[in-house]
Amino acid sequence: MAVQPTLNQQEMFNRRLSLVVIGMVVVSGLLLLRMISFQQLAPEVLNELSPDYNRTVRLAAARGIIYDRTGQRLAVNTLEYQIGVSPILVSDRQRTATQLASILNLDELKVYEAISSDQSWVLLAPRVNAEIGQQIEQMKLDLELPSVTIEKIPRRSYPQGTLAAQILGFVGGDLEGYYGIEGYYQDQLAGLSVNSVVSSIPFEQTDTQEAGRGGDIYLTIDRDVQYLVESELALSVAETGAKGGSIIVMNPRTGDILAMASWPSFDPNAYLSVENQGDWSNPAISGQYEPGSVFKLLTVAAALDKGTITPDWTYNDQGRLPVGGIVVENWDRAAHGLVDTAGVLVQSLNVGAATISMAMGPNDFYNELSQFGIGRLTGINLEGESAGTLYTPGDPNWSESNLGTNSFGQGVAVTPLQMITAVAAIANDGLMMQPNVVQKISINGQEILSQRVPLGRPISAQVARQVRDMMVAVVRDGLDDAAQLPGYTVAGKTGTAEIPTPVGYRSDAWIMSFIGFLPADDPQVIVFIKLDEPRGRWASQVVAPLFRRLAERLVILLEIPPDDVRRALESQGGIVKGAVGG
Amino acid sequence: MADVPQFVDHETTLDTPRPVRSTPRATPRVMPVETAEPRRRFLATLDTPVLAVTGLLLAIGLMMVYSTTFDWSYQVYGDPATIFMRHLRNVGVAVVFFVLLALIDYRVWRRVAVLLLLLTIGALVAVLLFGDDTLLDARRALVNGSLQPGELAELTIVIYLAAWLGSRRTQVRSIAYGLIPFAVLVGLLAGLVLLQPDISTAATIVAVAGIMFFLAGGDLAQLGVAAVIVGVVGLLYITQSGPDYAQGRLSSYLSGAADLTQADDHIQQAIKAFSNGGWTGVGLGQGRQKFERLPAPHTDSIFAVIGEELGILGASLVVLLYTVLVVRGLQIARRAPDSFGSLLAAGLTIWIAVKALLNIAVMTAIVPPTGASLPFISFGGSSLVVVMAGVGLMLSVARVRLLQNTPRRPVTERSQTVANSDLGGRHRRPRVSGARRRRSVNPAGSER
Repeated sequence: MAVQPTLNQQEMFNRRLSLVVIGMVVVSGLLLLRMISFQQLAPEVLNELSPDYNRTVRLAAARGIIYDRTGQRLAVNTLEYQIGVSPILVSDRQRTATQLASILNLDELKVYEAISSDQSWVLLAPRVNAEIGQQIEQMKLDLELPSVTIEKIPRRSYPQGTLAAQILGFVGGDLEGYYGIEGYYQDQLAGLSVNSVVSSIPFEQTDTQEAGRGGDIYLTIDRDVQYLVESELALSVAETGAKGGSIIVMNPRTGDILAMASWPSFDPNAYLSVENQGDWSNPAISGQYEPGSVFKLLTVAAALDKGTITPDWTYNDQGRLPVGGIVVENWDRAAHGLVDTAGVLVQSLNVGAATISMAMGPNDFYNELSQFGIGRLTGINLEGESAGTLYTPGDPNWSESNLGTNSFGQGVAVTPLQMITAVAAIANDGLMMQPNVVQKISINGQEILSQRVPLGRPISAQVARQVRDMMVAVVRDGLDDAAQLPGYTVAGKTGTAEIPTPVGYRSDAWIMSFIGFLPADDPQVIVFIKLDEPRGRWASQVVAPLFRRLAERLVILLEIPPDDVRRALESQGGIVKGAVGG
Repeated sequence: MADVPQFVDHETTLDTPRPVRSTPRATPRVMPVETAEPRRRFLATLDTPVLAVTGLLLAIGLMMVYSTTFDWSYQVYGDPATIFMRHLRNVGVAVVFFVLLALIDYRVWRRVAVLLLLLTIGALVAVLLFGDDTLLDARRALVNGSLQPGELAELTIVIYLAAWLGSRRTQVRSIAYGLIPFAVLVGLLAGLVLLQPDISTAATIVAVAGIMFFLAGGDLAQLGVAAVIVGVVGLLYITQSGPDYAQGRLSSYLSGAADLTQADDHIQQAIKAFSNGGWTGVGLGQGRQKFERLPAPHTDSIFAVIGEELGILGASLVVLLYTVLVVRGLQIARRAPDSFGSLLAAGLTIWIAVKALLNIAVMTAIVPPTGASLPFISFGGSSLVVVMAGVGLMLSVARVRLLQNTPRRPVTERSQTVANSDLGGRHRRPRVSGARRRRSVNPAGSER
């Protein structure tokens, strides 16, 4: 009775056991068949599956150094360390966390949480300096911490901090240069990177080649002048409450840029910490603005060059001039009576400028502006230049009124660089030099000197001298000596430009600029200053004094002697050249 | 009991499977002072095929673990053998467990099965509460990742089910006393493991438990219904509430089933490894897929590396070895001295087979990818120790049977022993067994 079902159960167990054995063997056989089936895979399937055991690694060359004109380093390469940890390899979390936190100066609890995470790898410190990195390396060695990973990251460092940031640009995390010199000369600075094939199979490692070093670049920028310019700009912005501004200092003879600064700027060492990525760009070469009265210099020079007017030319200023449906008025809305060519500039008369451009006619006027490079890139060797905006007849945006307003710098947008380049032609006896920031590039011991490229001769030397004299008169008679530097003859012109909006010009803020060069009879330096929306009404009151303050220090730095000293030396046969000469 | 060693071999304290009752309960069964003679005899009492297969699989494991870890080990520790030495140490520990469990009369485990179950549940709960979440998204390990209770749960469920099913007899067919308690128990353990989450361990537990229930005489209709329920619940779990990676793996499995090039990258790399290997393999240590291609080449993917380096022939040898182990293990089950031994040996065999088949099935894109280790071969302490302990238990069943069948022993004495054993077992096993109708029947006796 009790035995019978037990025996049945035993039999059932045995029978079912046989079934299980058969099942297992069959499954094993099927798995084997499946494995064998992989031997007959179609080639295209196999290709799809086929992994490439080799991968190409780009070995970047050491990036070239950037120097200023005197050999001061503006951009160098440093090593930084990226510290990470593989939580799965951590044996003693407590101890590892304590050690790492103390060296990296991190919160211990945070480190502990990081190394307790379920990630396969956790970044602890993206960038620590070499000193800390070496401490971590030592710790890893001493305490046998295979979990800690240390990666050396080449890093671009800018030892002068924010100095010349917008000229230099920066090098991004991808080791590519962006903006400025770093962007423009990316290929030369980066050198020849080597593509090295690395196999994932340790036995098949190939020899890696050494990458060539990038070229070093010597700028025309003078660190001291740049510093002076940047501090003056910052001071001026602070004093006037301006929203921004730019200063360019250039040698009109060569086109060499000695200093170029805009505000606000950024720190290329921490380029990611800018609030607005627009700060990376260089407004001095990319920022378009309506130049205002400074532009009258080009109008007068163009008309003189075309013979439309002569220095003795006069007109009767009635304070109003209808042009193409609009009425041009003077800044003071007054009539100035009989005014000569110089008077148009000295009194900065819009009606005079419009009268001249009307007399020239659109063809000659725009042809001359084009020769001055308005509406065209100067071709400066910096990344991010813009060409400005000049509508010419034939353009749907052009109307006849443009001919009138353009003559005094309205309805036309230029960049600071275009403006200073064009006016520098006046300073350089009519020869317009291409602006340039690079003195030489040194690649593999070979030095490539920058060529000074003339962009053209928009005006004759005679016209240039005539306009120059008028600019001297502007500073002397028109600006109440605000821009005058004792001992020097300064040529200059202010501009107080209205700011266009989609619904017309603003009536509460202006862009004020000044362009001046000295010594007027032998220009060695030309300075452009622009402030966006400073307090005050006229550039003659706001920006002209800033020029004077800057020029006072500039002549010392550039060793430009006062006129009487220079003339005395010249009469003795000595040739005095400032630092920027030649 | 005779304690004159030079006279009666088979009745020495070491080798004779004494009645369990004769061991005082508080005192564990300890090994007596050994001489060279009994040690040799101990080896002789172990089942030779199982011993040989286990040794061969361990040896293949040692080779493959070194082959798959030397480069990684060199890169991390500066020494190609560091990880291999760790594996060697694990093998050593596993062998100690193996010997211990082969030595101990397997019937001890019937009495401690409940305790073992409670301990395992406790460990599973502990791992959920305080576990190290170092592995993927899962909490699977205790004590700095060195102890994975999930592996222990697999062994525990086999031991407990053998004891429980062995005592249930015909009640196994009853829904109220068979299927439902069984389902609750298996569901509890599998559920705790799923919470880690560890789908492959849970699936192994369910599969092994199901086959043991089937062997113990479970009603086929009940089993069928239960299988459908498990399937539906499992699918719902994976698609609705399971970890994200499980859903991703399932969908990539479904797309890969039709087109291998759409399969999970892990599986593609494994298939590529088999394809690389051909019939005879590229040679030991010469595989390429293990470098940055196959994930976890020393554990989950080790079979693919075997396929690449040793070819179809090497992989077939491994499968053959498992098959021999299964056939021999189930033979031991058939000849076991009692129903607990039968179910225990069968359960252990099936457990190891399921683990191996699951791993190989994943590598050959038959089953969706899941992290299953290959028994005896994969690197990994917990898995190795638990599997070796299981084989030790299996050999203990064979050994007890062998020692009982020694011709020098009078039949009466043997049956007396068994009877005592069962009687003692019943009295000292408070919770495991239910009502037992038979007094003492050796289920293996019917075979003789």
